[in-house]
Amino acid sequence: MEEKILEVKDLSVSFDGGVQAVSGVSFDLRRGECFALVGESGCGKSTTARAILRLIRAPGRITGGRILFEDEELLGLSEGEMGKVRGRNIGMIFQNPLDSLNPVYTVGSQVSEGLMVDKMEKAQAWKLAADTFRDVKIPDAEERVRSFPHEISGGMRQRVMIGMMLCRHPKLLIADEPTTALDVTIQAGIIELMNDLRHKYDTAVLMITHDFGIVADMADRVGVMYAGQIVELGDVFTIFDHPLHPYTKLLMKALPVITKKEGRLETIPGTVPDLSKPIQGCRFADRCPDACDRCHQVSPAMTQVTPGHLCACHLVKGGEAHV
Amino acid sequence: MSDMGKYIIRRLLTGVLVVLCVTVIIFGIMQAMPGNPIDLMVDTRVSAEKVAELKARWGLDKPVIVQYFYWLGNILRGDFGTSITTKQEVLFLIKQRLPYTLMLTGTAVVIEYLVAVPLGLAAAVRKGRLMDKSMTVIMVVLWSMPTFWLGVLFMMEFAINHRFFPISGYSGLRSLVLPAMTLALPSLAQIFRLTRSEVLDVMEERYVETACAKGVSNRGVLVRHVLRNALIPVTVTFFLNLPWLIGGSVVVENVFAWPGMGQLLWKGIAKQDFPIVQGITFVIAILTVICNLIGDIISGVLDPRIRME
Repeated sequence: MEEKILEVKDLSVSFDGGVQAVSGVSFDLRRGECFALVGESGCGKSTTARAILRLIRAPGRITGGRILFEDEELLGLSEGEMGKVRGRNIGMIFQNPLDSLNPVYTVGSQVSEGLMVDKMEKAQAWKLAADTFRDVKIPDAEERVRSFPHEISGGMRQRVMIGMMLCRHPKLLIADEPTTALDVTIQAGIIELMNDLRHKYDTAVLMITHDFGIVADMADRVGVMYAGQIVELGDVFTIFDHPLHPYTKLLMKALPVITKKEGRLETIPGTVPDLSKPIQGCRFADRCPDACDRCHQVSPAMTQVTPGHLCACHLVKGGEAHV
Repeated sequence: MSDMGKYIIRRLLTGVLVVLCVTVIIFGIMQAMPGNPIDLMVDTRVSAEKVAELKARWGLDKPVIVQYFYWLGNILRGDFGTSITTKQEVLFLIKQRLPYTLMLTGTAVVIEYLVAVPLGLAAAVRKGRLMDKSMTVIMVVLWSMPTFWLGVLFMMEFAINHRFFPISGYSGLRSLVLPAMTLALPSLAQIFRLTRSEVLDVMEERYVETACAKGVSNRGVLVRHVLRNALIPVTVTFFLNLPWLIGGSVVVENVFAWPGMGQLLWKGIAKQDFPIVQGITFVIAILTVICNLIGDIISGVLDPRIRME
């Protein structure tokens, strides 16, 4: 098996008032691999992503677990040491490129700021910023470095963000819904760019998304999150072709299929549980069509079904838990 | 021409327009006042012909519009007329007093900015902690204090009980301390609150998170990203507030017998010395327009989005 560069073990994050946004999430990333965390809004996928870089703000707090980056415990680092990991070893791009760039600085200076954190000379950093712009296929790179964020389009800004985070060749890039705020026509270009660059620089990608199209385009492995927990994890083909968890199955059914001639778009009945109260049993039980008594009483553990395919459900055979 | 150059020229033209509007208002108020200068000058027994002759001599028989342009022409040439009570030229009186007013408000402004901005930043960073809460309480108290009372309080404590500073008047820079403090404190509270809330707002911005994700140090994020953006509205408000300070100095100058324009205005109002009141109102209006202009230009320098509008 390839070398793991990131291991998240039993990560829990809670917010003021006891809201358990993330509870006991575990997954790992191998070098150069793309792992996608999918789930509906509010399932804790963005919080998980921020927790890895320790960007959770008060009143949020990482309450437990371990985050190992190249076998180094990130949760044990001082704030200063963590600053050396951010940007240099792990980059991150955000959902909305419109407000991810500082409006008062030129895009070039914002790209070079990161390079200068690595003690690069200013002139050299600017030169590299222009090279980076060519790398992310921004036309007229020399001109554009002097543009302010409001002078370029949303798609261009996301290219700037990608360039800004990849120009220091981090080993891991966290992408938090990088295309959600963009026009559909722009999305494909951004995904293609990210795919090209991650292969070029052999960067591992943690992709946070709710879009299965992006998962199919980029991901090697997938973790499906529900209400702060990963409920199913496996390689992308297994998850698409043989989903086991009832939630994953329903998500797949809810995907619009263009080839289907008629019928309504499927939805999952019910709502996500209130995470500020303790939940007994499986978190999906109330919405699960097959839930039994045991589901309402005992929380199912992640168990291996086949090698590399894990699922947290009492109803799934193959694991140690049986109905 | 650069965006910035065009922006400044646009702002300058607007400023000139505002000054013209102000002259219309001042002249309009003069016209709206009951009676006219001739009736004030002459006795009731003077014949109607004589009054008409006097009016003609002073140009008061001409249409209002013509009178306005005469008056405007005089004002623009710096002729504000002569004081009714002292018979001195109004411009001379203003020139004599303006430096003192500018000295007082200038000092107050510097104290204000140098104290309020760092305190506001510090309170925002320590949001909800003891330092933040106590600062907020102190600032609310300062904000609610009437300047004349605060001035008298300072006078009693620091000039009478402890003779640190002169009680009143101007006898060197030490005289500046108490009036400047009195003038600065209430608006200092306002700048403090604005800085604190702006810093808190900007800290929520996504680009601040981007800067953190780049590995920029806490200090770098705070100064280069948070403070740099938070100071835009603070600076603009600061310049918009300057005329308020000059207005506020009317009260403070009287409490401390400060030989500035405010005191002159006060006496002018009390003695119905219209040329003085009009002259000073005009000067304050001009200062207001200039301050707004500087505020606009600085906000254009600080925020590239504004230049584009």
